[in-house]
Amino acid sequence: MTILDQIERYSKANHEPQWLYEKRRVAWQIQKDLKQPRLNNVRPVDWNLNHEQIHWHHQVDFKNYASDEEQKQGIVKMDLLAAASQYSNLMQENLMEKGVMWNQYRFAAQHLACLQSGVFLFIPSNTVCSKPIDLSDILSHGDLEKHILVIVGANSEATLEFKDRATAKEHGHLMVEILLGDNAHVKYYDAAKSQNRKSHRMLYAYLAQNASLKTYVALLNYHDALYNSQINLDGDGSEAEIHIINLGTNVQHQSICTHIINRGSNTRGLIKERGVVDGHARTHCYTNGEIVKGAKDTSSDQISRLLTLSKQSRGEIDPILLIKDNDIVASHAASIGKLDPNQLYYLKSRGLDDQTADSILIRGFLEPLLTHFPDRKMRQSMVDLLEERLDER
Amino acid sequence: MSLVINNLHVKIKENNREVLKGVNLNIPDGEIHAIMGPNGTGKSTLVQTLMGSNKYQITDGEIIFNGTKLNNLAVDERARLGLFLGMQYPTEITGVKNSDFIKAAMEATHPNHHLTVLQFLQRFEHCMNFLDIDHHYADRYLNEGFSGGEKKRNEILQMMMLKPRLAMLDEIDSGLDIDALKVVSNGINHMRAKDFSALIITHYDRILHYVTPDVVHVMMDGRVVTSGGPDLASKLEKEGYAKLRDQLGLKIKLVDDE
Repeated sequence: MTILDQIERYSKANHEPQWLYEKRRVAWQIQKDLKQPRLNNVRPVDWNLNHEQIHWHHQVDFKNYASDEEQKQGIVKMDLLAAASQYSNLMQENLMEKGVMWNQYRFAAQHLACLQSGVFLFIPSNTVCSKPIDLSDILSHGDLEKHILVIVGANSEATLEFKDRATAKEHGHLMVEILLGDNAHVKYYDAAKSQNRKSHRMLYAYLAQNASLKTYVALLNYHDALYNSQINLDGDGSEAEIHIINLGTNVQHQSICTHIINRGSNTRGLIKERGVVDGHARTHCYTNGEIVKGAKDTSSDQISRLLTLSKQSRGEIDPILLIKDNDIVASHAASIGKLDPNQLYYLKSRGLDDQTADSILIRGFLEPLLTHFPDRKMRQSMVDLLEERLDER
Repeated sequence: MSLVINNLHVKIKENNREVLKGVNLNIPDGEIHAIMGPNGTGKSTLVQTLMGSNKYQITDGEIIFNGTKLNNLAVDERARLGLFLGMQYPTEITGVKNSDFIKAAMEATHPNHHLTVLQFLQRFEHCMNFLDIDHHYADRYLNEGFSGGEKKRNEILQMMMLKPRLAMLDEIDSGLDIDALKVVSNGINHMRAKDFSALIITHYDRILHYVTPDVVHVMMDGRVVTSGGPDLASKLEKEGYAKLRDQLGLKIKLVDDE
C-alpha cells in the first residue's frame, strides 16, 4: 500500500473532516518538490525522516483531559485528531497555518501528511491557569509524527510543561505550535530526553499584541537531535525569550536552531543558550535574531556558550542578526571553550577528584540558566535529568 | 608525624626558570610555622609545589608528608592526605554554591566521616558565626563577587570545615583590615591541635602578633636562609631584609633593591 493509501485509510478510519484529509493528500503530493530549510554555512542534522514504516494505530479519543477546575474555566485539552472533528473550523484556521505553514518546507508537508497523533490545548480569553498544564501526559510518545497545538486567548496566563517519554528507538518528530492572543502570557518548560535514534523537535509560535512567551528547554537527548524554535513577534509590544541548555555525549550530533523575528514595534527578543559537548559529540547552534523593516523601537539579543570537554568534541556557534530597521537595539555574544584549569585546580586542591571536579564545573556552567526556571519542582526535574546524563559519561 | 622537605629544587614550567634552589624545611605536627621573605624569593612557589600545582616542576629533592612521598601525587590526592592551601588569589566559580562546594569537599577529604545534612549545616553555621561571615554567603556562588577580604575569610572557613592536617596559608593577611585580620587569626588559633600544623606565608609581622608561630623561617633567593623564634619576625620588621642579608653575608640581589 502506498503512503497516500495509508493516509487515506487512516484519515477515513478516524472520521477526519474533509479539509484535513485534502490537506494531508496535497501535502504528501507536493512534499517531494519542496525544499528543506537551508542554513548558511551549516551542516545541520539531516532534516529528513523515514516515513516508510509508520505504525498507524491511533484511535481518536474525544475525552477532555483538562482537570475539573480547568474545564470549569473552559479549558480544553484533548486528542488533536479528535479536536480536528470537534472544533473543525478553529482547527482548519490554525493547524499549521499561523505558527508554521504546512506547505512551506518538505518536513512540514510530510509532518501534516503523516500526522499520527497529538494534543490540542485551548485556553479561552481572560483565563488565568493557576496550575501548570502538562502537555505530555496524553501524547502517544512512540509515534513518528506528533503535533501539539496550543491556542491561548486574549489576557490569559498559563504555564505549560512537556515531559519527554520518547523511548522508541526509531525516528521521532514533535512539532509544537503556540498561538497567543493579545496580552496572553505563557511560559513553556520542555525537558527533552528522547531515546529516538533521530529526534526532531520544533516549536513555532505566533504572538499577538503585548503577548509574551518564555520557553525553557533542556535538550538532554540520547542520540542525534534537531531542535528548531521559531517565534514570530507579530503583535506590537510582544516579547519572547528562549532559554536552552543542552548536553551532547558519545557520538551525538545536534543542531539547535533558534530564530526570533521582530515584526511588530516595541517587540523584544532574547535567546540564551549554554551547551556541553563531550566524547566525539558535535553541537551546532544556529542563532538568528531578525528585525524586519518598520519594526521600530525593538530589541534582539542573543548569548550562546558552549563548553567542549574532550579533544574530539566539537562545538560551533553561528550567531546571526538580520537587521532591516535602524531604530533598534541588538547584540550577540558567543563563546566556545574548555573547562578553566584554574578552577579545576582550586576544586582539586580541596580533595575533589577529576571526575567530581569536572561535573561540579559542568553543573555550575549550566546553573545560571537553570536558576531562571522559576518553578522549583520543574527546576529539580531538569537537574535530575542533567545529572542522569552526566553520570553516564 | 610531620612535613619534611629535603633539598627541594623547583622550576617554573613556562619559562624554565629555577625558583627553589634547595629548600630544607621540617614542620612537626602541632606546630605553626611562618615563612617570611622579600618579594620573588619563591614563597608562593613553595606552597604551590607542595599542593601539586602543574605550573611547577620538581627537578630535585623530595617532599615527605606523614611518611608519604608527595612528589608524584596528584593535587586531589595530596588534599585527601590532609594538605590544604589557602590561596593568595582564590578562584571565582560561577554556578557553584559555596555551601554545596564545601560539602562536596568535606565528603571527598573525610570519606569515612559521614555528616547528615543537618550536622553539616550546624557546623557550617557555627564556623560562619565564628568568622563573622554573613549567612547569605552560603548560597552565593563560590567567591564570585566577594571582596578581597571576603575571599580570605572564605578560605579560612573552608579550612575550619575541612580540618586539614597541614594548612598552608599564602598571604592570608594581605588585603585584610584590622578587624578581619583578628577574625582570620582567631580561625587559625582555633585550629591549633596536636595533629594540626600550619605554614603561614606573610610579608609582615602583623598577623604574627595574633597568631604566635613556633618557628619563623626567612626565605631568600629560593632557599631558607635562617630560622628562629617569633622575635625574628619583629627584628625583620624593624631592620628589613637587606640588613639581614648583609648580616648573613649573602650575595643575593633582592627584587626591590634600588
